[in-house]
Amino acid sequence: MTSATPSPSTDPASEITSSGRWWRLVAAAAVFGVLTVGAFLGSDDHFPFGPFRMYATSSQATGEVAVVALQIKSEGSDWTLVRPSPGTVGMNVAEFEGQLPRFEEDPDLLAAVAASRSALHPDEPAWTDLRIVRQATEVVDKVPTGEVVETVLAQWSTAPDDAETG
Amino acid sequence: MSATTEAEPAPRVGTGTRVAAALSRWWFTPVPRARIAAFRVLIYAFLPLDVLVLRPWGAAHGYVDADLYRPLLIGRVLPLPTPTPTLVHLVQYGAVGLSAAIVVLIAMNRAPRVQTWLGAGIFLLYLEWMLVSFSYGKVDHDRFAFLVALAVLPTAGRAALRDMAPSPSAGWALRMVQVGVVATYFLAAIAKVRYGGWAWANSTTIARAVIRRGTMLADPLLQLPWTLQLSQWFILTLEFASPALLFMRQKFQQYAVAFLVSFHVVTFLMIRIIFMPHVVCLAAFLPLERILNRKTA
Repeated sequence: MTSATPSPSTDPASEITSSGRWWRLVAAAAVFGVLTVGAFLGSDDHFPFGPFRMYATSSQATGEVAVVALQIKSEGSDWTLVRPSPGTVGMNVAEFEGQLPRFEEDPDLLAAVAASRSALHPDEPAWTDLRIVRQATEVVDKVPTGEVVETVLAQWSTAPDDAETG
Repeated sequence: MSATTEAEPAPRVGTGTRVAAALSRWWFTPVPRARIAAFRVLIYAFLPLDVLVLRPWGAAHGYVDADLYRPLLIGRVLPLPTPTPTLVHLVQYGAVGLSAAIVVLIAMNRAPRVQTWLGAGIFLLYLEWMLVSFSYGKVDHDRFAFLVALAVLPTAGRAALRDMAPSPSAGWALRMVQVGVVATYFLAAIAKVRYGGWAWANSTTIARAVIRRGTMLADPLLQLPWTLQLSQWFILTLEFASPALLFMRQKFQQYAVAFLVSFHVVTFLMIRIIFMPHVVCLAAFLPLERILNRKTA
C-alpha cells in the first residue's frame, strides 16, 4: 500500500520530469496564492478568485429579513406577484438583489426585464407595467413575528402618464 | 534536535532545501493511476448532471436582455461575447457532449491524447458556463474545487481504471483538488470574518436563511434560536479546522469525508442548499481505485 518514494526503476513512465515538477509547483503556488489574496482583498468581480462570501454577512437579532419580488401588469390585468426565477424572467431573486442599486437608480432598466420575459415566453402577453418590491419580515430577538412590510423600490410602465399608487 | 552528540552526523542540508524537498514530496505523493481514472469518471459523469439538472440556469441567461449583463473581470478583459440563446446552448451541450465522450474513452482506455484535449475543452467550456451564469448580479462560491479538478485532470496523463502503477502527476492533480476543497472551507471562514466580523458566529445569518428557504425540519428551530447560533459556531470551527484534513492518515480522511458529506446533507435538509460540485470533489480524498481493484493478497 505505502510506496512512499517513487523509484524510477519500478515504473519509469510514472516519473515526471523536473520541469514538470516545477511548473506544477509554480501553478499550485499561483492558484492558491491568488485565491488567498482574493479572499482578503478581492470581490465577486474577480471570480474564480474572489472571496467565498456565501452567507458571510452578519445580521442583527432584531430587524427584518427582506426578499425582493416582482409585481407585473399585462394588458388589462391587475398587479400580479411574480417570483423572479430563471423560468419567469431568466434571473433569480439573488441576481435581482445584486443589481438592485441599478434598478433603483434607473427604473427604466425594468424594460429590460420585460424584454427578457418576452424573449423567454414569446407566446404570452407582454408585461406593460413592472415594479420591484421589497417584502420584509420583522424579526424580534431572532424570532420572526410574521408581519410582512412591502415597499416598492422601482417602477416602470409602458404608459408614462400612469398614476402612481402605493 | 537534542543537545546530545549523535553517533551519526546530521547531513549538511539547509532548512530551505529540506522544506522544499518535503513540499515536493507532499505535492507529488504518488497515487495509483486507477485512482485518477476513477476520479475522472466521477467528475466528467457528474458534469452533465450539474449543467443540465442541478444548475441549468445559465441557459436562461441567453434570453435575458443585454442591458442586464454585468460581465465579470475575465469576461471584460478577454472580452467574452454577450450571451445569446445560441451561445449558451452551445456551451451547455458542448460541455455535456465532450464529457460523455471522455467518460467512454476512459472506460475503454482508449486515445489518451484525445482524452487530454477533450479534458482541456471541457474545462474551458465549463469556465465559460460559469461566467455566463455569474454575470447577472450573483456569483456563487460553491465550485472552486470543481473548477480546479477540471483544470488539473488533463495534466495527469494516461490512466486506466485498472492501472495500479503509482503516478506522481496523478498525485499532484488529486492534491490540487484536495487543497481546493480545504481552501473553500477555510477561506469561507475568512470571508465570514471579513464581511460579518467575529460577530457572525452570534448573528442571525442562518435564521435568515431558514426564513427565506427553510424546510419543515428547520422551521421549528426558529423558535429555538440558540440551536441556530450553535450551528454557526460549529460551522466556523469546522471551516477553520479544515486544513487538518490534508494531513490526516487515509483512514481518518475517509471518516472526515463521511462526516463532511453528512454535514452537507443535513444542511440540504434544513435550508435546501447543497454545494454538489464541491461535495463530489471530496472524493479526491478517497482510495477510489479500490472500487474496481479488489486487493489480491
